[in-house]
Amino acid sequence: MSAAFEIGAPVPGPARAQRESQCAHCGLPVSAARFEPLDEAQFCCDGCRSVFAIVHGAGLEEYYAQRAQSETQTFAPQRSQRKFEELDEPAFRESYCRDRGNGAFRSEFFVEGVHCSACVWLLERLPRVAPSVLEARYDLTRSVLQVTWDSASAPLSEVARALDSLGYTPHPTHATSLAAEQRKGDRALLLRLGIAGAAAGNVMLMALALYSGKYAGMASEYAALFRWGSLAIATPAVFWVGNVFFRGGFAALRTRTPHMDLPVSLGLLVGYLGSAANTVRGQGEIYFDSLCTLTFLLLVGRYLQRTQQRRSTKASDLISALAPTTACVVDGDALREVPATTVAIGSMIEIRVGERVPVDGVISLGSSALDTSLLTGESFPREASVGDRVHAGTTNLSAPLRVRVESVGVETRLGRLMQSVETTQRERAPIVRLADRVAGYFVLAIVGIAVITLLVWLRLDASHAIDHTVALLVVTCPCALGMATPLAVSAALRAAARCGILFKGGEFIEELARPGIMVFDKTGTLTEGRLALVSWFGNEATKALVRAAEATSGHPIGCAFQRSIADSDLECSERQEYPGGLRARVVGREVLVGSQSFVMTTLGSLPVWAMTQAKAHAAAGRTPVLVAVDGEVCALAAFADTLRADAAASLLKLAELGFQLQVLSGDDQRVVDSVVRQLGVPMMNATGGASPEAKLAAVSAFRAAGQRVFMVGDGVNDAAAMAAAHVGIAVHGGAEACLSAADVFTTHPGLETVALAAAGSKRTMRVIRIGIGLSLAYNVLGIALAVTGRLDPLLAAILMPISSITVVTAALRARTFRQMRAS
Amino acid sequence: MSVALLVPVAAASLLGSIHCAGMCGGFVAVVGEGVSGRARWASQLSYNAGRLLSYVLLGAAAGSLGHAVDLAGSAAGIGRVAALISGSIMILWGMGALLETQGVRIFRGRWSLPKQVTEALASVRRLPATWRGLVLGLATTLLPCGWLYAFAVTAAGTASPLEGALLMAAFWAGNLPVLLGLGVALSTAVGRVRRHVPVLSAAVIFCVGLFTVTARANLPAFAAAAVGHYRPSSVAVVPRPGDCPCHRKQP
Repeated sequence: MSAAFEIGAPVPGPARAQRESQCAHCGLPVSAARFEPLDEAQFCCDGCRSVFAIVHGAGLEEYYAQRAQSETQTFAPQRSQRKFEELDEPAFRESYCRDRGNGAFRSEFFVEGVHCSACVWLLERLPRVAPSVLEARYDLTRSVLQVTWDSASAPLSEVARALDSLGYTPHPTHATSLAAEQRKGDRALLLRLGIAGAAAGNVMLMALALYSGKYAGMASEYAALFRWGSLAIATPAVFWVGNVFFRGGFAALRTRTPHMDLPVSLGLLVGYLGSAANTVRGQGEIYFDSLCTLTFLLLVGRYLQRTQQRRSTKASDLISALAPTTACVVDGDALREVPATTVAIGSMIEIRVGERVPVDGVISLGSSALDTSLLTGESFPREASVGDRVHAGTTNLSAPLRVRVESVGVETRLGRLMQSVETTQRERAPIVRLADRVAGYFVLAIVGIAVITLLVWLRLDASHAIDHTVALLVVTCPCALGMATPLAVSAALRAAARCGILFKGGEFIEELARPGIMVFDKTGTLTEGRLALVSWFGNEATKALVRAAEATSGHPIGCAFQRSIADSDLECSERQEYPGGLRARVVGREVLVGSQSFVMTTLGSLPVWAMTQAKAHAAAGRTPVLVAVDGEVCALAAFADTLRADAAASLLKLAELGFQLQVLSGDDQRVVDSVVRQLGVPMMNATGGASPEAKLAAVSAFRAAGQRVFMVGDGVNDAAAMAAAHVGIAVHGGAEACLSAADVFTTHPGLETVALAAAGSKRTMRVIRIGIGLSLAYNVLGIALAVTGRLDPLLAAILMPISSITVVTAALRARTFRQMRAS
Repeated sequence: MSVALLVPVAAASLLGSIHCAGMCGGFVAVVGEGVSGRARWASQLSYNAGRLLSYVLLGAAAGSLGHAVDLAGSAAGIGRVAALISGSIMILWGMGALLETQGVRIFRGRWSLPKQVTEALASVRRLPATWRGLVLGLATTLLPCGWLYAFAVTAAGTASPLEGALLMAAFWAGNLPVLLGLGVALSTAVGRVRRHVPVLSAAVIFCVGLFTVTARANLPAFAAAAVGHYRPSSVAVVPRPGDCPCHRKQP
C-alpha cells in the first residue's frame, strides 16, 4: 500500500453514466465499486491508472486513438496537485496575495509538521532554497507561514514546490482550515506512531529471542530468521516512520541550519546500515530494536508536544482574562447559559446587574449605568439606554439589560485589542533566540564528536565502533534548548494571562525577572484613586443635608459624599454649582458646601476652629471641605485618597525581590509624604509635584545612568515615562490606552498583581535556567558514557526520549504565575 | 513440488491475460513506438525478457519469504505454514475481487506509483527501442497490478525460492501469447469475452488459492505422528521428529 495517495485535481466535466463505464486505458468494464463520479476518466484498476499516466507522460496519447474501440474517447490525465499550478492563477493572486510593492507579493500557507523552533528557523531560511523568496515568517500558534516573494523572478508554484521539497507541504489557508489541517496531521502522526509501536514491539520480541539464543544456544537458521525478520520489520519503521526525522535532517542540510533532527537521522541511518550489513554477513550485532524503540518514543514525545504547543497563548485566552466566558442567551421566555464564543450574531442576550458584558452589541431593552474603566479607564459610570452600544469587558452597574449581539470573541473591540497583544507576543524573547543559537552549536558539536568517536573506535575495537557512535548520536538531546525554552515562555504568558497579567511579549518576563529601580505613580497606583470621607467634624444631621445637596453632583467631592453617606430622602429644591463649591436649598435650609476659599468668599469669614482644623488636615495631606447651613459653618469634612489595602504588603514583597522603590507623583509633596508615611515601607525617594515631563526626565536619567528602570502607573498619564522605562507596567487607565503605552497590563487594579508579575517572572526564568542546566548535565553524562563505550544503543534509545519528554513536560507544567487569591 | 502447480498457474495466467493485454498494451506501445521490422521484434523480445527476469526475481523473493514463514511455523509446530497462509490470502482476495465486480468495495484506498517513478518511466522514450523494452519489462513488476501480486503470493506459498521463481516463469509463459500477439486482430477475438474478464479473474484467483490450501495443507506434527506412516500423496510432506526444534541437537 503506497502511503502517497494520489491527489488528482478533479477535472470538471459531465459525470459519467455509471452503467456504461469503460476503463479509459484497457477498455474493460469499470465496476460500480470503482466508479468515481467526479473524475472524467474511469479506470478498472490502479494498474491501468498508473500505465495511463505513464503513457501520457511519454506523450503517446495517440495510442488510445489507434486502438480499435467501440467508443473512442480519449481523456486528459488528471493534473497532479503536487505541482501547485493553481497558485499561479490570476484569481488566486487577486484574492489571496497582498501586494507589497515592487513586484513583491505576500501570501499565507498552512504548514504542518513544525514542532520546534529549529523547524521554524529552518522554514524561515526558505530564501536559501528558493531565491525568489524575500522573506518567510512562521507563526507557531497558527501554523501559518507567511511568504513574501518576488513575483517577477518566479511564480508562487515554484516557491510552493521548494517548500514541498523540504518536506513541509504548504496548503493555501483559504482552501482549508487550521483545524482540518491539524486533524490530518494528527491522523498521520498517530498512524506513524501505531506502526512504530507495532514494529518496536515485534522487533523487541525477536531481539529477546536472539538474546536468549546467545545464552541457551539457537540453531543458525532460526537466528537467521530472526535477524532477517528484524531487518524486514525495521526497514519500514526506520524509513517510512522515521522519514519525519530524515526530512528534517535533510532540510537542515539544504538550508544549512543546525536542527535537532540531524543527529537523530544520522544515528538512525548509521545504526540501520551497520545492522543491515551485519544481517547480510550473518555475524555481528544488530540494533534494530534500539532503532525502532527510538523512533517510537521520539514520536510519542512529538505527539505530546503537538497537543501542548497548540495551547500556547491565543487571543481567546487573553480575552477570557478580561471578559466573561459565558453569556445568557434569551431563548423565547427562557434564558440559557452558553459559552460566550458560541453566541450567534443578531441574537439577544441578557446582562444582569453586576455582570460583565461578554460581547459587543446594541441595547434593545433597559437602561443602566456601565463601568467602562476596563476599556477606557473612565471610572465614572456612563449612562446607556436603548440604542446605545455596549462593549465586551464593561460592567453593568444598575439595571438588567437586553442586548442584541453585534460581534463576538476576537471580533469585539476587546478581542481586537487582545489580538494585537498576541501579535507582539509572538516575537521571540531574547532568551529564546539565545537558546536557538546555542542549540545550533550544540548540534554541530555533537556531529563532530560523533565523527571523532567513530574514527577512534574504529582503531580501538572496530566491531563496536558503530554501536558507540549510534549510542552517542541517539543519547544527546538539545531539547531544553530547542523546545523547552520557548514552550516555557509561552506557558508562562498563558499562566500570567489567567492571573490577569498581560505581558506584551516574552522579553518583558525576562526583564522583570531582574530587579532594578521601580518607580510608582501615586494616584490610582498606590492609592485607590478615589476620594473618601475620612473625617467628619460636626452634627450627624448635617450629613443628611449635605447628601441631599450632593445627590446629583458629578464632582469628585460630590461623588465621594455620595459614596460615604447613606441617601436621605430629603428634597433639594434649588441647586447651583460654582467653582470650588455649591449652594443648595434642602427642606428650606440654605446649604453651602465647598472649599475653604469658596466658603470664605461666600460668607465673608470663617470661624477659627474651622480654619485651624482645615490647616491641620491640609498639612496631613487631606482635602478639607466646609459645610455651612443657613450661613453658619457647622461641619468640616476631610477627604483623602485612601491607600490601597494591598499596597504596603506588595511593596514589601517587591523590596524583598530586590527592587528599589521610588514614588514620582504629580500631587502635592505633603500628600506624597503622608502616603509614604502611611505605607511604612522604606523608599529610595518620594517626589511630589512632578509633571509628566518631569517623570519622563527622571526615568530617562536613571536609564542613562545604567540602571534598570521599571515604571508602574496610569496608562494614560504616564505613557511617556512608561515608554522610556525598561518595562512599563500599567495598573489602571483602561486596557486600550494601557496596552498601547505599556509593556505589561494588569487587569486587577492594585499592586498585588505587580508583585505577582515580578515574582512569576523570576520563577519563570529560574525554571528555564534549571531546565537548561539539567539538560546540559544529562547530555554531558550521556556523551561521557557513550564515548567511553559504556552505553548500549538500546538504553540510549530509551533514555533520550524520556529525558526529552520530562524536560518539555516540566517546562510546560512549571508553576510560574500562581494566583494568590480567587479572582 | 511438481509440475502439478505449474500447469494450473500457466492456464490461469492465460485465461486472465486478456486484461494483461489491455493494461500492459500501453507499455508495449511505448516500447514499440517509432520502430518497425526487425527492430520491433527485438524490442518486443527485450520487453518480454525483462518481464521474465523481473517476475523470476519476484518469485524468488516471495519464495524466500515463504521459506522464512515456514521456518517460523515449524518452530511453532505447524508444518508448511506458508502454503496455508498464501492460500488463505488468495481465497479472501478472490472473494473480495468477486464482491467488487458486484459493486461492493472493501479496500477503499488508492494504490498508485509515486510521481517520480511515473515520470522516470515516461522518460524512457528517449532510449533506443531495445533498451526501452528492457527497462519497461523490468519495471512491469512495479505496476500496482493485483493479478501479478496474487501470483506472487502463490509463489510465496511454495516456500522455496526456486519453486517460486519457476511458478512466476509459468505465469509469464501464460501471458506471453497475448502480449506478443498484440495488434493482431486482438479486439475482435477478445471482444465478446471482455465483459466477463473481471469475474473470471476473481474466480481464478479464488480457485488457485483453494488448490494451494488443500493440496499443500499439512497436519500438525503430533497428529501426523498419531496417524503413523500414512502418506496421502506426493505433494504432502509429513514432518519427522527430527524436524521438531526442541529435539534438535545443540550445534
